[in-house]
Amino acid sequence: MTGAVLASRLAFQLRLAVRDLRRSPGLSLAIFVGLALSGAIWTTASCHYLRVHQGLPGLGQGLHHVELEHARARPVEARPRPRWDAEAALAARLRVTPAEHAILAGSGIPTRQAASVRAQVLVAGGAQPLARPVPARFASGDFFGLFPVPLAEGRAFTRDEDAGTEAVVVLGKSLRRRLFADAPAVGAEVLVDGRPFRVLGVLARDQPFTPVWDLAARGGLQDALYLPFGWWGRLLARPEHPLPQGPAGASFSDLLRSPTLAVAHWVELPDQERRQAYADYLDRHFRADGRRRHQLRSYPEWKATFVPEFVDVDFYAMLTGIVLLAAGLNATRLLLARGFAQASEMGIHRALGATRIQVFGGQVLAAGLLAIPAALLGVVLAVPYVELFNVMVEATDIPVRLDLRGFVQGFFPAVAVGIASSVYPAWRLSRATPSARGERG
Amino acid sequence: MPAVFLQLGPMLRSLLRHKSAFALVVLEMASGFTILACLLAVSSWYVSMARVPSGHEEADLVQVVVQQPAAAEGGAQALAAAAARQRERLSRLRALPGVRAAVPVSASMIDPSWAFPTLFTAGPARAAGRRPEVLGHVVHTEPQVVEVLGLRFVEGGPPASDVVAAGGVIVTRCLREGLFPGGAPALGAALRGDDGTALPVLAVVEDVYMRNPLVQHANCVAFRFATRLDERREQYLVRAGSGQRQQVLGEVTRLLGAAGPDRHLTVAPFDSAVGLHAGLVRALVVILGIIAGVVAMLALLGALAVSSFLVAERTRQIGVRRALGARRGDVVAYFLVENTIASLLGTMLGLGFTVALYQLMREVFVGIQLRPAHLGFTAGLLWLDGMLAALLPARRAAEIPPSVASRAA
Repeated sequence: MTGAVLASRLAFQLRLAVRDLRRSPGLSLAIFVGLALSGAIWTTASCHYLRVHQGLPGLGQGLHHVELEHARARPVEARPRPRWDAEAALAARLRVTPAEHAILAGSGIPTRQAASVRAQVLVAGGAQPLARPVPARFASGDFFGLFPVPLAEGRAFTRDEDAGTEAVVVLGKSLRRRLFADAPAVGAEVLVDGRPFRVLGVLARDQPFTPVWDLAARGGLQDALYLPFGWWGRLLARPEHPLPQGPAGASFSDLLRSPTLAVAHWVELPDQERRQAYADYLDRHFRADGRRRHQLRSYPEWKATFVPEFVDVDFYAMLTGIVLLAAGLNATRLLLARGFAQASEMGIHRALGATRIQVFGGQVLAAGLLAIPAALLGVVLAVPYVELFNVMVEATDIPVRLDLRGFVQGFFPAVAVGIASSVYPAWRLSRATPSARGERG
Repeated sequence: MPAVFLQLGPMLRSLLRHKSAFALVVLEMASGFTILACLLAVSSWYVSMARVPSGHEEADLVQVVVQQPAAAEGGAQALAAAAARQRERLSRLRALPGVRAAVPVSASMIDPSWAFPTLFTAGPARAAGRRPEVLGHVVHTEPQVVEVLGLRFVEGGPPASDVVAAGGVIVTRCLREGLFPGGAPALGAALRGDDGTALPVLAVVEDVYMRNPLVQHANCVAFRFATRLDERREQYLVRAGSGQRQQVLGEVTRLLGAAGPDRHLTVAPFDSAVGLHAGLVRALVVILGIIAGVVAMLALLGALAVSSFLVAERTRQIGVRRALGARRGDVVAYFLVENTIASLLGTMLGLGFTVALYQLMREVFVGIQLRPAHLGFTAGLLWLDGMLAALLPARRAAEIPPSVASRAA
């Protein structure tokens, strides 16, 4: 069969499909509206899901995490498991104490190491003359090298600048907008806890909702700015969500000596030799009662171990999936009803030589003609719904975005449901025999 | 007996003749029921979180937060400076006209920040090797917190100053019942938190919320009488005299002076209804409500479209029935009862799906409850939806004249 013949048959089927849709405008509109509205809800939930579960691409193969054994990692015995206990247990597995961090960092074996602590600081500058508290991440110089967080302007601070405790800062995208709007930020001065810091760079994107470098800090406000790790001790910035494991004492210096879990620590071990050497180093320093107290994992192993738990956003994604399916069931019902009315007409078509496949294909094509624009409209309707969430929910400033991935995840399932909903009615209709005069209810 | 009930048999046979269509109606009803019931249960859960009473006497309570850089860089030096600053500020707050009492606190219900819960252990082992464990929160403060928050004693009373000086905690009922179950004595018993320090229980008070209620166990609190100093942050709760809150707000603002490029101040009436959790819950309930509204509208639209279509399909049948003596009301009742049968079956199936999903919801929304009221409301709403959708076409069907029966198909 030549392409021209196929094209003309397709064109004929398309004309038939459009005619079918126009002959029952009420039903067609009901199917269209149902798919569009449910598609909008599904797309919104998909964007939320992607925001929470989107990882950070480009993480190096040599990235490793050390889990140290801590008492608080044992969960309480209660069902259902309290969520905040699970979060605390997770933090106990992912973080280390300041003293443990010093040991981990002191080996000289990894090619790069990134330690970070989250704490509140006061920031003023630019269009904000009065200080406001914001969450800051005190990060070592290799942080931006190990975690490929792209910068839109300037550069990140270096290992030397961290070691020298230089008064430099990298601004998050959101804070930069608030302080400087359209004015240049790189090279400008901001006050952090009343001290002048020079802006070196600005992040290109909002922080991932689930930051790999400190998974226990997910949700909530994003890190507004990044300061060299050495400033943590100089500013006496108490960690935001510390997990005490024993007496901490009163002063900040006591905190640094205490078994309080607050530091996230990652290392780079690009080859097997370094990995083995580091494993031996950990064996020497982290053993108790002849037992290993540590677990060294590569990033893929870490990802497989710390699988995200089923949380509320997953539940909403599932529920909105049911909404989409319900719209599909509704469409099937409406198409079946229309099919009953068309049975005698289809009988005539069959008598005139139309094959079952042609009848089937025509119905599915008609459904596709409805489903595609409906799914597109659903994505468009999701835009204000997503923005409504961003405006109303103040617990986090990490916005939900309807980007290309969100579009794909919202659009194609809605189209698939719309087309799938026509399969059964199309099959029923294709079974109409050439002599059928249709059934009347 | 109403005539429509005599037609239940023929009605069911008619429905079963179109099994697939009927099954779809029931499935769609079931999925609609599941979605709406789950959304209602989750919304109720959020609302219950937002509406928890703080347990404080909130009227005339003022929250004060002062954030500024550490006074010095060294550990002991900065701490001493923070301690001196706090002592002076506290004494000046207490001396203000209109102030009845003031205490430093390490946390409060309307704090936008959150903290991991503390794991408390205490009391005799319930079984060999097992001690009761309860999650809760420690609040570092001073004994005047009793007056400031209006704590109500369940066991014991306000501790004497020498007892407080020796160390100890006042716990809320939630913590007491978790750690000392079955009426075991709590007063004087030792309690341990994450830092491992054993502290005697001095008294038990009614539950108060000292953390965001969305953080679990926010009402399981141990008030510890040892000020936890922060070199950069001070937080106070101030109890004003009756009706003097506005005056105290002004006095405190004047006392603290202006905010600046290195100083952030919060002086505000304590109102748990405007905490971060309340705003978050309002937002989520609105967003979930939009989804529920869309689902209900989809159910209505779908049912309306199908009912209209089916009436058109059964024109001749209706004409025959009218010719045989059926009244307009009988025709309307026929379609409404048919819709009710489908709603009933869909509701029953949806109930099964909802109960299954509820097990999953309990893992995510700890403490959520699926009440009969939720299920009844959802069933009623969907039935009403279906009835409204069927009513208009049914009334149109009732207008079909008996003469239609004599027309050729």
